[in-house]
Amino acid sequence: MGMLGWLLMMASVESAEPIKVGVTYDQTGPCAHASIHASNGLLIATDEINAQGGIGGRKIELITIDGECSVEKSLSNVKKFIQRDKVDAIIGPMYTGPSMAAMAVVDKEKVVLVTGSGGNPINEIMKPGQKYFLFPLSMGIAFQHDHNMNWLKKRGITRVAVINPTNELGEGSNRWYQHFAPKYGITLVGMEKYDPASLDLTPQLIKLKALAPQALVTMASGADGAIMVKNFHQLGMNIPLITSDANVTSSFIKSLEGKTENIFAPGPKSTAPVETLKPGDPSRGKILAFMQAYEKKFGKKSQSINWEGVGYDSAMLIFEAIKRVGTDHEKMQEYIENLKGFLGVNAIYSFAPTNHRGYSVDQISMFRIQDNVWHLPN
Amino acid sequence: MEVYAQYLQFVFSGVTVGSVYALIGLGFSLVYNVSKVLNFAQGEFVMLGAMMMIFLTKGLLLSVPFAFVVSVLTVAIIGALMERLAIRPLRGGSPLIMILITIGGSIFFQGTAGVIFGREHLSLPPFFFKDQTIHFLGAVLDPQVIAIIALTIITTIVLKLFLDRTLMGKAFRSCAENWIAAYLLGINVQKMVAFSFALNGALGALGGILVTPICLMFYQGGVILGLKGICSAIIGGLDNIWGALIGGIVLGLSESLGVGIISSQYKDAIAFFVLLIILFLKPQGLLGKR
Repeated sequence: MGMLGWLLMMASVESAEPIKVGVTYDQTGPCAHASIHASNGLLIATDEINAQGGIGGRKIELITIDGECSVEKSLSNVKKFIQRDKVDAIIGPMYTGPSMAAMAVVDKEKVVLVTGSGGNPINEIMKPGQKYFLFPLSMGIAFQHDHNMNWLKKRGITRVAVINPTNELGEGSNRWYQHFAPKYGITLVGMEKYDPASLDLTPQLIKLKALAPQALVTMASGADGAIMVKNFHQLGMNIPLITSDANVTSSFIKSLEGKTENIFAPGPKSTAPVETLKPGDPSRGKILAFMQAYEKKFGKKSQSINWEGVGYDSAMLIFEAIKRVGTDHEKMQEYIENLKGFLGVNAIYSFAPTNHRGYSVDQISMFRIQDNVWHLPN
Repeated sequence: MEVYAQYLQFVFSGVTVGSVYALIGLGFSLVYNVSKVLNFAQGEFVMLGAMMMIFLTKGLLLSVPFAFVVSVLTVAIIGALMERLAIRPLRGGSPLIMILITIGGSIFFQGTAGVIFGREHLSLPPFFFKDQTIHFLGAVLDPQVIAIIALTIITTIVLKLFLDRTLMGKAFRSCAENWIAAYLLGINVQKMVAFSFALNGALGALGGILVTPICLMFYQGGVILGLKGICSAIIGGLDNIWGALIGGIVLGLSESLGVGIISSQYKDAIAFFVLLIILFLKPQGLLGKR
């Protein structure tokens, strides 16, 4: 009888159609690093909801296909999710190009897509009166540059030099620095470019050094970021070097081989060592709970909390919308677009029809490497 | 700061980058000279050597000299295995097939390294003159560059002596000249080719370990280094063993002077323009014989 009852229960659980979420993160390819961390956050969020019995008795089912850091593959995944799997929402792609391609499809098919892409210019291209279904949960390039310039101005810095890679990210960064410089009364004394595959950046840096800037700003990250930091110190440039938010990871610090003076980067609150957040800060409890859940599930400490947080927050945002308004796609879009004060691991998100990132400048902090950890400077 | 310090810095930067290209180009011309195969997996040997060294010194905390020997030997064995398992069964096939096999090998090594060593950019501390920079008339130079150039010259001299003065070296060269004749004279051609791949692996690993403190390494880091290495070897002349060193420095200097004097956006365009001019004027490379 016990067995029969259990079987009946299983049958009834199975009969409740699961909530399907399509995931196209990049498990392989040159951009896979961020997605691999974000996938872990995603699994924690899904486990958390399924352990509570799902949403309205319906379990969450993730349908995962590798996006391979490719526009074509990510786009075909998104189409498969919509046409074949009839998913209730989509998570990913993380990379700028694929996320832009996916945006066109989800806006046409009216399916909510949440990603972490920082380079997607959604807030800048949105036209009033049109519905947009893509929500990138990261600070993005505009907020980041606004924040950096504000930070420099507060420190009385007025002469800034810019050095950026010759790719879309670098070009975008140059435009935003030119856009925000007059607002904060900052002079851009020099702008240099470099090929992201360069092995040595001393030619560009020595030109900028001759212009006597008070600070150097760049979107360099990963290998060129580490090469820039090394060359910057070799040339004895004793000014703040503000790098990209992508560098607020422990692996970036490791790649610097101890040359960490004067290195700054903007990041979300979760980047700070959790004990440095005030006890009353609502983010503190959220981050601590996430770190505990991570350790429980994966048997090791959280590796890169800002990326894991993107995955966790993306999933939780979708689940929250489904909890409130069900799986009607347009109602979900409307709900998220007007959601304020949504507490996530990385930020307290407040969306608006003109702000699909949910970020604002006050959700960003400037970090500095101290004792081989990213710290909030006092 | 005076203008000439900037120009001197462009030159130092060119020498830095050029020394990296030269050391990698050396491996190419070696294998080409012995087996007439252009090994496109050479860049991956560079990457594998660096990744092994990082794994052994940072992961397993082994001593630097021991880790160095283990890394170089491991990649040498990988090189020999590649020859035995992938090249030898198709020996005598068209050069195009050989090149495709080495490209396949390169993709295989990248994928495997990505799974084993992870996908992050990793670094190594410099081996000599830790935390020091050479200052000269307002320009700076990484002392690791001097170590790389010295090592490239020493390796080239040792290889030259080996090829010219030893019996095995002569057997090596005879295989390159005419392997059928060498075979008829009783030289074990297969063994020689396998040995050239092992040597290629060892040289690549050595290069990877030395260049990583300058340019970092990740699982796909060998691709661009390999291409620049081929480029240097061709500029200098594939059949001259000193060609890669000269070619690497010429390529590095044309890139950095191009960046410094003209524009960063044309870095590769300027370098390839220089390559084209050289090949128009001397198709056999700067040091190549006709």
